[in-house]
Amino acid sequence: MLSLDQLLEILAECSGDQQAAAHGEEVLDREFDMLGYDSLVLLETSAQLKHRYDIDIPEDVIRDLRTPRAVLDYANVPAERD
Amino acid sequence: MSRSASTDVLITGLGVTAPTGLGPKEYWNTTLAGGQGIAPLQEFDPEPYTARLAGQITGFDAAAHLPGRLLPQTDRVTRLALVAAEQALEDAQADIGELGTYECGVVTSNATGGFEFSHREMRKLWSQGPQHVSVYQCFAWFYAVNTGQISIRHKMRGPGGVVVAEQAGGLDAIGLARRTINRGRGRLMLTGGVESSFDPWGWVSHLASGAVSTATDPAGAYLPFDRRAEGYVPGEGGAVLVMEEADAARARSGRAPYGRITGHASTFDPAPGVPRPPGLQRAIELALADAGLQPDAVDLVVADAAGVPELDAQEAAALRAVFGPFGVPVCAPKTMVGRLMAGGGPLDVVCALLALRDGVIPPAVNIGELAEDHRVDLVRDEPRFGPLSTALVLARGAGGFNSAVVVERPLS
Repeated sequence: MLSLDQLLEILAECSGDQQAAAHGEEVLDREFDMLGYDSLVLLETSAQLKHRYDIDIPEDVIRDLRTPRAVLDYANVPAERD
Repeated sequence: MSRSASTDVLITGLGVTAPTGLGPKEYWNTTLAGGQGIAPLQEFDPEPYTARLAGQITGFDAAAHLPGRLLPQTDRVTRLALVAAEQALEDAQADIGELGTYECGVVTSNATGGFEFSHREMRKLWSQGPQHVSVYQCFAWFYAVNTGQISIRHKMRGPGGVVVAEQAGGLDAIGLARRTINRGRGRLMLTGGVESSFDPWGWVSHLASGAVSTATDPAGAYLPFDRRAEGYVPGEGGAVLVMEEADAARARSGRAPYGRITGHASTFDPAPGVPRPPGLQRAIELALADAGLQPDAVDLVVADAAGVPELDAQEAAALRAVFGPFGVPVCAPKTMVGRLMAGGGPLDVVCALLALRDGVIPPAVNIGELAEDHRVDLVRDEPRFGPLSTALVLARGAGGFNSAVVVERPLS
């Protein structure tokens, strides 16, 4: 299971911006755009999820996941993908 | 006196990241005092390399100057450029939102890109695999990235550009920014150049020029016009300047201008073996013509100061041809910091502006006996005081680039 904290930590590292990470659950449903995370941060996050947790979210999929909750849902419910 | 360019173009803000100081004030104080910014390489062991001295910016803490968000996506060179740009805008008291985002643009020069960033990512590529390469590699290495990051950060969405012309590019960027304003396409431009490429891979690339000094004594390594000249010392950093159309600058309550950019020209040398003269003299003559000035109006030349005997001789010959033997005071502030590639010309323009403002020519350092044939009036050891109204700044780049910029005091 990928936790919100783990995801926020990766987002913070990939973007260099710690602010969203400090807000925890409050940001679950905020859009990445509003949090200041652009498409490149999400691409970098996709690579880091693979390296650290062996979680596969292809680049063309993560691009369309708009919120931290959407990423967690995708990462943690792999059976529903097909 | 007629001027070919109808628009009066002012410099109203300065940003400096140099081995002799962060910010124009520290740079200028150190420069007038004949400070020494050249030292053995500090970031890695230079022992295996043929050359070991560089002009380095020490103790630069990017996190103290920039938001965290910009750190994972920037090389050192871009961090330095962003700091210089911010300084310049603050110095000019320019509010981009007020001036209009599409009225303000950025033109910078860079010759080596983001070497350290690329080197690190290439190591990951070959040792860990392609999935480990940072996504920011796509732009962090690129010559154009300084212009892009400055433009994004300050929301300067007007005319943008990047000039690559080896070590002459910084002056050409200033020329292009001026042309942009002259054509009515922008009211405020950030322009200049910053360079930094002193990781081991970057260092090897500098050494490939074959002209980097192998001396080990910082005071004896880079001696332009000196009889002992035998190469140059690379340096890092540069300068970013705020340039404004004069009426637009007067219309807002900014600071008093440092000076005006009234002429620019660039030329290209003939191919090796072709029996035509080098292009530097023509660049000087064209820049003076652009400014509507005769040679006797020039009070100061900030020389390219190659430090390579043959190139020094070419520059001295061009100066003699235009100004006569010992015909104009020559200033070589690069002797304190080394050659900053695309950053060198803009830093020398800052030097010229401050020299005109204060009526003082900073000294070249470490210079002993000049090569007799040069017959140039090189200001050295001590600053030289006296009223100055016009300066000519020269830069040359490997491969045949020549550029000249004319700087004048503001109209009173």
